[in-house]
Amino acid sequence: MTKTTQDTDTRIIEHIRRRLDEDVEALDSATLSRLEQSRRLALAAAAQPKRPWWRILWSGGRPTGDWLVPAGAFASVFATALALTLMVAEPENGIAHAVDDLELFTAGEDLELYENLEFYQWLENREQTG
Amino acid sequence: MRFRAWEFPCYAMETPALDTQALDRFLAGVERRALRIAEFGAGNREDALDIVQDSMLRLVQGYADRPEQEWRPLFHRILQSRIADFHRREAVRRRWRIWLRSDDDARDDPLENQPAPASVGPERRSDAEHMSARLEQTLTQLPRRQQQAFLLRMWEGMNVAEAAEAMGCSEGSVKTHLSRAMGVLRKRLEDHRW
Repeated sequence: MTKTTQDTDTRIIEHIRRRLDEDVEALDSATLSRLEQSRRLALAAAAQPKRPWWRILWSGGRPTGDWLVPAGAFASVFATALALTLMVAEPENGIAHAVDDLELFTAGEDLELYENLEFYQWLENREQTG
Repeated sequence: MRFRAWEFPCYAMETPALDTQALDRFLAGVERRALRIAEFGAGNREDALDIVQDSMLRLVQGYADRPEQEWRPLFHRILQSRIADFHRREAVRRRWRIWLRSDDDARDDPLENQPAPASVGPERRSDAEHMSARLEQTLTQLPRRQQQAFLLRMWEGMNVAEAAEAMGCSEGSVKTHLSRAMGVLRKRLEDHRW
């Protein structure tokens, strides 16, 4: 890279930095208020005591988690049986499909996306009818 | 000897108290620039605000107990992940619009008619305003990974390792994306007077 190119890059970077810094300093009050609200919500969530997933069922101050170990074991066995069933049902590419299906069942974020597809269809229908 | 579940040391361990003041300082310091980065990624402020809010929540809920020096790369990693999720959802929505609408109706798609956030119109009179609009348009139109690399390295001031962690890629990839971004910016902006 020549010195001229380096100088050009430096000028470009400095100008972009200055422009972006000016942008964030000039944010309107409504936007700043939204950001502060988001921060407060996040900090409120931080103030909540974090309950490990195995202590969800807390009853009357007495933990009832002594059933969770066998329940967890059963869930593991069930998931394995499900994966094996899927593999047996589709011998061709069974492993790939089983992995895909298991990933679909266990990926919470992807499920949320697919669950929202009905909402998108409803949204489309609503917009069409005005 | 039979142990009840809550008598195991890990079961009895409570979450250590979080430094909410430090969290507040961190989030207050990063929120404005995060919004700007999300705006470049999402193309509009409203979605960008949602992305930033979601990112803050995920950092706090998932990583607030990590050392404070890890929050910044973690937050940016979450932020970039949320932007990627936004693009995936938009792609799905666009496909639904194509499938459910006729070709004629597709012309009325509000997303298609939405102007680019940094479009340069004839109302830009001063050279400075024109230049700023062109600069923002150029940044917005950068390929996503090049945009990420440039903003994280050149504006956020992250080093290569931090940017790689935030982008979820190798350090070599960060350098490549940045180099390509500079090539695009140089080509489009070098002739302008600053």
